[in-house]
Amino acid sequence: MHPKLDNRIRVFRAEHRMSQSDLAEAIGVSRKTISTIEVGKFVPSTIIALKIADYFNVPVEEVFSLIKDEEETA
Amino acid sequence: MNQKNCAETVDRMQKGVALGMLICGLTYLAILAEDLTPKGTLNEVLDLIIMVGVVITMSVTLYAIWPALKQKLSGKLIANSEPEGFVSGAMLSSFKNGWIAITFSISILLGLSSQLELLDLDIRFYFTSLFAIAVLSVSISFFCLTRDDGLEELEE
Repeated sequence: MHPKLDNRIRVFRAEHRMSQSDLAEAIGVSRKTISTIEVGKFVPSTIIALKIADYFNVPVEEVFSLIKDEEETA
Repeated sequence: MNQKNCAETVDRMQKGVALGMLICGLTYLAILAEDLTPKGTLNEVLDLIIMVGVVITMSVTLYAIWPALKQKLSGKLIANSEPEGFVSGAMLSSFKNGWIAITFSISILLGLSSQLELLDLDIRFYFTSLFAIAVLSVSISFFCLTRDDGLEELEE
């Protein structure tokens, strides 16, 4: 997982019973792009993030969130 | 145009171009070896390897870019307004790494220029070396960045 960015794409995919390929096709990216975003290997562009959130019909903050450092939360 | 096909086509094209660059770099290494070996059997074998390398490089690259070229020629712009994907990002990072490698190599050559003059090698040797470093560093970097680590498959 990326040290700063968390995502819940896998959860939303499970709720919608979708594979990575289905989601990739729906938003117009490759399956590799979706899989690398899910595991935090690739930080998506704003356009991709908005497309994913739009597809699941939720605000982008529900799909992506910043991982707060312990110092910041203290 | 099917969006999935478009994104997957771009990914396949990038991977094919990187493979073409890798074979091209290896071919240029063979050219370097040929320049350093005296005329004889080994030199002829290297000459044959170079010819095969050139043919494979051109074939792989043309095969990789053909689907994109076909769509461009037919008026459908591939990846037009497509968001950048992981593979495109990896290709850009690889070009950055290639630039670092080539700058580093030139710095070394400049630093050793007075010693290299004593070797009395043809200028073509240095240009060939730099070209090989440029394409090899980009392609190797690309394949390292896009390698499957198994983690992604677990998420499917």
